[in-house]
Amino acid sequence: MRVVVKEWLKENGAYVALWLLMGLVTLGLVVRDLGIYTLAAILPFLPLFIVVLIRLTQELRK
Amino acid sequence: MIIAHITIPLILCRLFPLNLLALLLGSGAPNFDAIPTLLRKKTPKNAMAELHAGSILHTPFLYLVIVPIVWYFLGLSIAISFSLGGIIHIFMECLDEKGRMLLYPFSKKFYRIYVFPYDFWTYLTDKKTLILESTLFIVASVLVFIR
Repeated sequence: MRVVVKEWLKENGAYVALWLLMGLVTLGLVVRDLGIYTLAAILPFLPLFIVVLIRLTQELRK
Repeated sequence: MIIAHITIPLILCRLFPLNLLALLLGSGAPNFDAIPTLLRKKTPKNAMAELHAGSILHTPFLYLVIVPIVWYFLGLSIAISFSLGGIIHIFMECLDEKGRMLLYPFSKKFYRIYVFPYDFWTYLTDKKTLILESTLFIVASVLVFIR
């Protein structure tokens, strides 16, 4: 499905907030268990995350 | 699945003697085939046709084949944890509209039990998705704090 990200975010703000909350708490749980090794779990996926952030920023600037 | 790829390893580590780091890396590994999709200028009209979830990274075969290799270099616990992470990722995603190539390389057929949407934007606002993901999130949170 193609969406206009800016409009989609406005319409579904509650869902976005919920996902962000769950994501951040889950990250906290991982940090609690793995400590500094969390970086080793995140590092391989950093390129994916950076690409997503760049694409999202591009979409939001349109 | 989005957060479930992290909460399921957290739950499994509380119930079985597995390596959390290897489980998380294995659980995330299949998603490397999302890179071509993410790099596209425009989202394809037909999400089912994209490479994500349609490559060898999303097949249980790969994670079975690499067990002896990882075992040799890093030990049995890490090998089992990594492969289990990948295989659980794939089986959980069989619940979406696209399904996964469970019998690859013997068959390229996508097997599924259609419960959740595949499309990312629809997935984020689907009630069934939220129920499953938030339930796993709550179970993982409770287990992390009590065990």
